[in-house]
Amino acid sequence: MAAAGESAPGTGNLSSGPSDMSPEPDTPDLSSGPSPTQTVSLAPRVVLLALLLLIALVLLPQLGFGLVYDDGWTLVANGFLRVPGELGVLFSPEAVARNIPDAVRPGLVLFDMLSYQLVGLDPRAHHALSILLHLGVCAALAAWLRRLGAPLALWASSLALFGLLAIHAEAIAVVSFHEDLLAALLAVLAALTASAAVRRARAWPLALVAVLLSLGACAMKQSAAAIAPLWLLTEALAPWRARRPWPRLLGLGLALLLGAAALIGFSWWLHGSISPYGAENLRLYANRVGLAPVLAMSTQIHLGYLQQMVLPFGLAPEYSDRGASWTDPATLLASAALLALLAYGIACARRRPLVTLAIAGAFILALPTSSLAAMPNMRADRFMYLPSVPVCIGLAALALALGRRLAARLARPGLLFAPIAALAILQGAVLVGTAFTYRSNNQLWATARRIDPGSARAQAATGELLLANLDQTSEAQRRDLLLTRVETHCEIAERHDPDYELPQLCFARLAAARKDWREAHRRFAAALALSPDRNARILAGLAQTSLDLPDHTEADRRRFALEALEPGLVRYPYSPELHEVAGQIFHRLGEPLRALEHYRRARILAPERGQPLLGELSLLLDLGLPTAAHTLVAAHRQTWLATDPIDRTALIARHRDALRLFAPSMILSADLVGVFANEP
Amino acid sequence: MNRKFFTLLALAALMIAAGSMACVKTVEDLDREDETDSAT
Repeated sequence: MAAAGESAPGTGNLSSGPSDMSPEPDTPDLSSGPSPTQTVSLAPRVVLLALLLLIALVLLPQLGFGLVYDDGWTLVANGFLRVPGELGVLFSPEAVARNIPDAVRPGLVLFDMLSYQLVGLDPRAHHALSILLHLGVCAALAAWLRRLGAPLALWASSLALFGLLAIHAEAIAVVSFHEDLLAALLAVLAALTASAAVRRARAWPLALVAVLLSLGACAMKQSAAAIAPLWLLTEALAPWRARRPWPRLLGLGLALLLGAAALIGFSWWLHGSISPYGAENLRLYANRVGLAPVLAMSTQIHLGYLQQMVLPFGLAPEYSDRGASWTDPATLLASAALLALLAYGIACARRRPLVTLAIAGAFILALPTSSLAAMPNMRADRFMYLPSVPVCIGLAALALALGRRLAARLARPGLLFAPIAALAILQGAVLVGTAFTYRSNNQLWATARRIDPGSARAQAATGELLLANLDQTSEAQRRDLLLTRVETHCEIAERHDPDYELPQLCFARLAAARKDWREAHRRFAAALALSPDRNARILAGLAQTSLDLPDHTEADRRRFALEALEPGLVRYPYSPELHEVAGQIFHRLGEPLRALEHYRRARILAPERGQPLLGELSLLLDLGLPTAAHTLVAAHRQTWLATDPIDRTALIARHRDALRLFAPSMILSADLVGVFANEP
Repeated sequence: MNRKFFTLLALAALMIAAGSMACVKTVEDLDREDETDSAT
């Protein structure tokens, strides 16, 4: 697709106004010379498919990645996804009362429920979905640019750059960030539909579809609401074709806003405020230090984003929230640079509309995540997924303009695409390399700790991951060394952020591993006091350690356990972990029927977890029901085989004893040994 | 011209694969890390 010469169409002139339009923008000049008779054209569909194939190939290694980061909260331990019969709760204030993860993004929860029902917890299938969604965004972007009249060289270059942009690694490689991909997909489709509607005599049928798509995009992530002003800006600038009449543009722009307004209204109804995080939530850094330092830091962050999009270095899975002063030289420089860029973009509106689109468009799309409205994370690579759309268009146009000059100066037409190819290859290489950070939690948090040693979250998560490896360690000296390392990470985390619950949780699990139940209970209580939300696992730990507290009567222990458990079950009814712990506690307290009920609920909320199944089996054996235990194992073959072989062997031995005692006539037919070929 | 285009894409894919090797930073499993000389 090598077009040559200054007059060649489809070369993405930065100042491309209507005068630069090719009569057939989708028929590029691919010759080595300027003569039209020598031109050979590539079909747009072939270009599109080939570029999508390249992007898919580059992303293919991600199929081998695991479930990391927030996947545990939104997917693995999200019991709500396993009960589609209770879907109606999602669209009522009960969704917040029952702490359904991501309740403020009903579209995303719906998508997660559907994908879970289709592919379960298979990481490969979820990553394949991520790649497909990203390809969908790329295809929708290309279609929108073509609809706007962009020449082939420009839309194809923008597509290649967007598809391979390194800053997208986080959004594509982490399953729980489907929200960014889905929001972008629906938002770009909404813009495409609105652009189609504005060019039709009867606009309203397509306008209605655009409203629904805009609503869908905001139901995935509210920041997608910025697509409405971006669409209006793009159509008003009309970089490639004549501008449509203003009344039509404003009407369609309002229609797109309508979708966003509906979702914001829904959020208001759900939470009683626009923000789903609560006014006192300490996860929001603005609630700790005030809005001014956060906004000052935000200017530095956004200059950093711009650098990362142009030159992809410094990408990270974790950025610590920090404030800054408005008199800091870094803040002043960043503010001045961003303001100058914006002023230049606006000044170019008539002469170079594409420059205005790239600069002002990126500002518009970045606004919702710029901390103007307080957010739990001030900075994340994934926040730039949708805002990178106009940046990619601008960079592609710039690279093509540079290539055109290069080709003309060196009289080598083949150099036209050299800058954009070099940029796309650089971005693609860094994308693949960066994506490997997200292949496992171990890799992710080790990288986060290396890049940002001051992150309390990274230090505490490292401590918990080390503890998770403890089970594999039987040697006493090695175990002690490991526990000391965990303690160090917990201490560093606590020093960096004493008001954060994760360091307390790290200490609590460490104390539990050392069987210091009093300290574990104290740390779980401290974590609960600090944590504004997501408290199911803290309450589970608190209840569990209550039963082992020394220096207390049995009645007190029972009371402490129930005081943590009962409100926890009311607030987190979809937490499999809490139901599992409830089963264990009622089992220990001698209330078999309640224990059975909770074990069963835990199995429904997380059929993949082995512990509730083992707990229920143990209870059935205690109740003298070995035949029922056999039936249960036969009905949950995969879960049974996935549990720890040591636990399984112990249960098989107990089951045999129970058969001898309670059902001797069933020994031959109900013995667990031999039920499955690979049973120990 | 199709051939030129596809050759360019194939070359791009190869260069991305080669370039990514330089960007991948693997870390050993957490339980095998040696922190003897670390600042902590």
